[in-house]
Amino acid sequence: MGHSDINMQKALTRLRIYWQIWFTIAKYAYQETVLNRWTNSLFLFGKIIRFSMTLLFLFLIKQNIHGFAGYTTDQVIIFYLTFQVTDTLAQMFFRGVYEFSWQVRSGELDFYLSKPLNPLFRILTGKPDIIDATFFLPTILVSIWIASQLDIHITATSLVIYFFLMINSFLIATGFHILVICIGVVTTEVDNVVMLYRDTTSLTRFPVNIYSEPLRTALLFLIPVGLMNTIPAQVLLNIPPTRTILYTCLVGGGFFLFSLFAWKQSVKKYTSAGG
Amino acid sequence: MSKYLQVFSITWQNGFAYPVSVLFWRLRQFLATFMSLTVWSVIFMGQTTSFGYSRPEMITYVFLIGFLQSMILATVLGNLAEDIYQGKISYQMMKPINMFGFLAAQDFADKLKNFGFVIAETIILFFLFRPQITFPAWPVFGFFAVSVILGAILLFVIMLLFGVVGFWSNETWGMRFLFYMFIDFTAGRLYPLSILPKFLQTALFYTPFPYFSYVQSQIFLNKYSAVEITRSLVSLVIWILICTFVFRYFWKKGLREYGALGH
Repeated sequence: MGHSDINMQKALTRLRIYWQIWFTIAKYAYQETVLNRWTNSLFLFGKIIRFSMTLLFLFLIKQNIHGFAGYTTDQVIIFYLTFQVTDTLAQMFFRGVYEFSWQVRSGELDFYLSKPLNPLFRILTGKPDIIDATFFLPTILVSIWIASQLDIHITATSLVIYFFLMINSFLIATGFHILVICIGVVTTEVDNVVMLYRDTTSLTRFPVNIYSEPLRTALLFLIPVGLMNTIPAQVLLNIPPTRTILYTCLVGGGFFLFSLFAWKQSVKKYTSAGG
Repeated sequence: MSKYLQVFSITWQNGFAYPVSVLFWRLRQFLATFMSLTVWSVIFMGQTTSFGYSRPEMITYVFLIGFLQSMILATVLGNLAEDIYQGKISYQMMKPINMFGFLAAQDFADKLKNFGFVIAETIILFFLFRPQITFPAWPVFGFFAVSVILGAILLFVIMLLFGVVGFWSNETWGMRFLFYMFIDFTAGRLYPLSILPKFLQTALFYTPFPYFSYVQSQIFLNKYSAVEITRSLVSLVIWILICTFVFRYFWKKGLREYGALGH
C-alpha cells in the first residue's frame, strides 16, 4: 500500500467519524424537535406564512407593476426564491451558532477545544435546525413549480453554473457564521450579530442593483451578501451578472479563508473565563 | 409614584448597559426600513400611484411603520413566561409595588428609548431619500396619538397573556414567533395590509393584528373618515377589554396553581 493510499484511507476514516458525529447530533436535534412538537409546529407554520406572504406580495406587484429596476417582476421572483434557498440552507446547518454565546459564557467551549475534533465544525453544526430541514424540501418543490410558470429564460448551462455559484454562496454563508463565532469568542455577543447578518442578507431578497452606492459595492465586496443571491440569480436568468463569475468565486473563497484566519486569531484571545 | 419613576430610570439605564447590543438592534431596524424605502422608490419610478397609494403616501407609510413598530411593538415583556415558569416572579410579588405597574414602567422606558433612536434614524433616512411626507391636520394627529397609545396598551396586555402561559409551560417562543409573523404581514414594513386581497383583509379585521400599526398608519395618512376613525378606536378599546378579561381569568387561575419553586 503506497503512502498516498494510507493518507487517503486516513482522510476517509476521519470523514466517516465527522459524518457519524454530525448524524448523531442531527438525530438528537430531531428528537428534541419531536419532543417540543407543539411549539415547533408553530415555528413551521410561521415560516410557511412568511414565505407565502412574501410570494403573494411579489405576485401582487406582478399584477400592478410592469418593471422593477430594469428587471421583469418574474425575474424578481427568482431573486427572492434564490434568497430563500440560501437563507434556509444556512439556518438548517448552522442554527447551533445562534446558541454560541451561551457556550462561551458557561465555559462549554472549553470542552469543544479540548476534544480531538475540529471545534469550529462542532460549533457550526452543533444543532441542525430540523424545522428548517422540514421546510426546505417543500419550498424547493414549490419554488421549482413557480419557476416553471414564470416567463423567464433558463438554459442547461445557466442551471449548471447556478448550482456551482450556489455552492459558492454556501461557502460565503459559512464564512459569515464563522465570523459571528469569532465575534462571539471575543465579545460573547452573538444574538444581535447573527440577526444583523440575517437582516443584511434580507436586503438581497431583491437584486442589489436597486440600492444606491456605496451600499451596492459594500454588498458585493465588503459584506458580500450580494454575491450570495444576486449573481447566481442573474446567471440563472441569463442576465449579464453585475460581477463576473470569477470575481464572485474569488471573493467567496477569499472571504471564507479570511473567516478561517479570523477564527484562529479569535481562539488565541479566548480566556476560558466565560462572560 | 416615585418608585415607578425609579423603575423607569433603572430600566432606562439598563437599556444602555450593553451599547453594542442596542446599536446592532437599531441598525437592524434601520436596514429593514431602508430596504422598504428602496423597494418602493424603485416601484414608483415608473408610475405615480400604486395599490391606491401615491409615492409620498407610501414613503410616509414606510417611515411611519418604522416609528410605530418601535413604539407599539417593541416590548421588554418577552421573558415574562420564563420568569413565571421558573418561579422568579415570587420576589416581585413580595415587594410593595404593583407588579403590572412595574412591568408597565419598564415597557414605557424601553419605548421611550426607542423613540429617541427612531427620531435619529428618521433624520438619516430623510436625508438619504428626501421624501415628501404628508402630515395630517392637528385633530387627526390627535386621534392618531390616541390610537398609538391604545395600540401600545393592547400589545402590553397581549404580552401579559403570553406571560401567563408560563404558569403551565415555558414554551411561548413559538407562539410569539407566529404572532410576530402575522404582524409582519398585517402591519409590515414591506407593504400595507390594504394591498392584500379583500377577503384576507376582511378576515384579518376580525383579529387584533391590524390594530398594532396598520390602523394607526391609515389614520395618519388621512385614509379614514371620521366614522372609520371612531370605529377603529372603539375596536381598539374592545380588544383591550377582551384581552384584559381573558388575562385576568388566566392570571387568577395560574396563581392558584403557581409553585414558587418553579418547574
